Amino acid sequence: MSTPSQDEGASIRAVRLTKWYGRVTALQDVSLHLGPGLWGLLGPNGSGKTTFMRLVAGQLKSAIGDVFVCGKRPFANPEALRRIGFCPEADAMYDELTGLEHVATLAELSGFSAKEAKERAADALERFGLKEAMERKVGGYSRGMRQRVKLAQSVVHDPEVILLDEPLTGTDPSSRQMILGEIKRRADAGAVVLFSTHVLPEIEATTDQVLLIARGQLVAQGRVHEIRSLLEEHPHHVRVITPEPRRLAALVVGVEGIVGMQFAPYGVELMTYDPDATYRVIAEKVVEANVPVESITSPDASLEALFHYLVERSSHGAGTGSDAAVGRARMMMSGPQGATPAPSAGGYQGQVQGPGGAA
Amino acid sequence: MSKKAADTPARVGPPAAPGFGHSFAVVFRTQIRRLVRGRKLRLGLISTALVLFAVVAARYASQRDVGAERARELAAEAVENGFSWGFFKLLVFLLPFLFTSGAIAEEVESRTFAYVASRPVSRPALALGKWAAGATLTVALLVGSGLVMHLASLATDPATLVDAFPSTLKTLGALALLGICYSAICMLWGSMVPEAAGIVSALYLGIVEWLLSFGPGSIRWVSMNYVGRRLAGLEPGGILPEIAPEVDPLLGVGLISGLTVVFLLFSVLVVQLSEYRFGHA
Repeated sequence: MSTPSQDEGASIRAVRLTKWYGRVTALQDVSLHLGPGLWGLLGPNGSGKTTFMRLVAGQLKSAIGDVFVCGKRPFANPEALRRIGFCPEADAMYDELTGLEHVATLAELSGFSAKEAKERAADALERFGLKEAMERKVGGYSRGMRQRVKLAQSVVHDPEVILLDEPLTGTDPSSRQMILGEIKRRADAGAVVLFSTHVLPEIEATTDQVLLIARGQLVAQGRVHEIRSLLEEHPHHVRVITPEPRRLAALVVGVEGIVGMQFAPYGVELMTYDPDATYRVIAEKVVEANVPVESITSPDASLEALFHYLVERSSHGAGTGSDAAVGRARMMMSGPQGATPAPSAGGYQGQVQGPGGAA
Repeated sequence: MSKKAADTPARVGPPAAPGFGHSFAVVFRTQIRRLVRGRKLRLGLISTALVLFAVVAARYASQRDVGAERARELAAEAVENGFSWGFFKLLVFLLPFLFTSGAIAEEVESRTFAYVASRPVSRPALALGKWAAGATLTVALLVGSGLVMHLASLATDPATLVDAFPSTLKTLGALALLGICYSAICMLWGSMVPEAAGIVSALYLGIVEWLLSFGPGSIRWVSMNYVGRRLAGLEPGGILPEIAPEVDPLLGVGLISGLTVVFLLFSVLVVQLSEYRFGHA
């Protein structure tokens, strides 16, 4: 078991984090280190996302392993909790209070005076578009408004680590823009923002840094394209939309790297381990033989495709249990880290973990 | 959102964790606010008003065709019975049950506990703030309605009104002590068994505090209700009252206070150590 360290700045560090609910393993052997920035937490229902969030938020105690927020264990630890902003998934609020009172009370519990808490609460609510409604009781709010109050209370104290469990639930498109904008603003200012969602296109539009949890295990962490490129055993798909798919297929069959193809109503889909070379060869052949082509795309470069593939991969391989260790296969690759400096513990490294993976 | 607000760069850096006093005060104030705006206070007020109405009505109904001396005795008896039945055997159980048993439990069940549990507020301050809010409302209602009952029942007889006042104050003191103690008891069971806080609190109060207060001999020491009633100067009643233990006032006050502290300490310990998870996420 890891020992608590000194202040590590804005960060989340999990060391072999495991959580059981009776005989059910909710989270197993999760190790990671997240630094400042925006992280999407993906996973199917029941995969352990909420358990992970609640462990980091100091609501649950781990069975094995440890979690540190800014270098401190969060459970019932005010020194760690003061740096956390948590937006829970449940649609639960103090319905007797107004939106302003709800957020101001929680700001006071973060250490602000009553006056400052009220000012900050008003500012936070205004940022989430609730200026007009903040004096009304929360019990009368719509689902989307309640969601925005939950978000406002999670950032009212300028936390360094922001945990948002399904923050886009029940929100309309314009609210989503507002929420994602505010989340990005916080991440740009140096906070670690971890948010889980099922709305994959929006997470994809907001960040390309993702964590993927399936069956209680961390199956991937890093930038989407890095993770994608690490999946060497999974051939890339190249979709060619053409009115003459059979002619095109005849041209590229036998090309090195192409390991399969299938016909579709729109054209042909090629499977390759070397997409760059495949693109080049297709372009050459198409020009030589004068085959009409509307587009050449890679459908599985999207987050959704990656998500489904990794979840499927996790469920086909070893899950929790004795075979987990046997099925361990991990690939790591250093990658460009954008504007933020890379921490030493691999927080910004793309990594794909086989079932039962490790850090 | 105004353009100014949108353009302001986000800040990162929360304040220092609040101290115990600050946390306690915020939790206390919030809990009072929620209770005052919620249904439970209304239920408590209605129950108290019904008890008051019953006692005062009984007191004046018993005054027909009796002499002045007898009327004075009946008035004093009505007040005593009112305290004994309406307060010691009903309200002193009901009010802490309403205001405190769900203080933690309802937050856990309704999942709002996630908000306070993720704040840097010390859990002892959280538990004690909620207990103090429930106990304050309990004592306020008990003492307030006790005074109203005293005034309303004895208003037609100024001499008795004044003469009986010290006794009423003593009774109200015992009631306040019991209200505080029962709030701590409800707090413990509510925090220990949040999924069945009401049932467990009611069972404990019903069996240990109510039923055993009528038991024979020394078994009555288990019930703080018995100790409180004796502190108030009420008759022991129950089974074999002649062998019911005598209660020294100092010992009685110490016993109730001590038990309150013990229950509170356990409440704090339970709240400090519990995950209070809801469901298997």
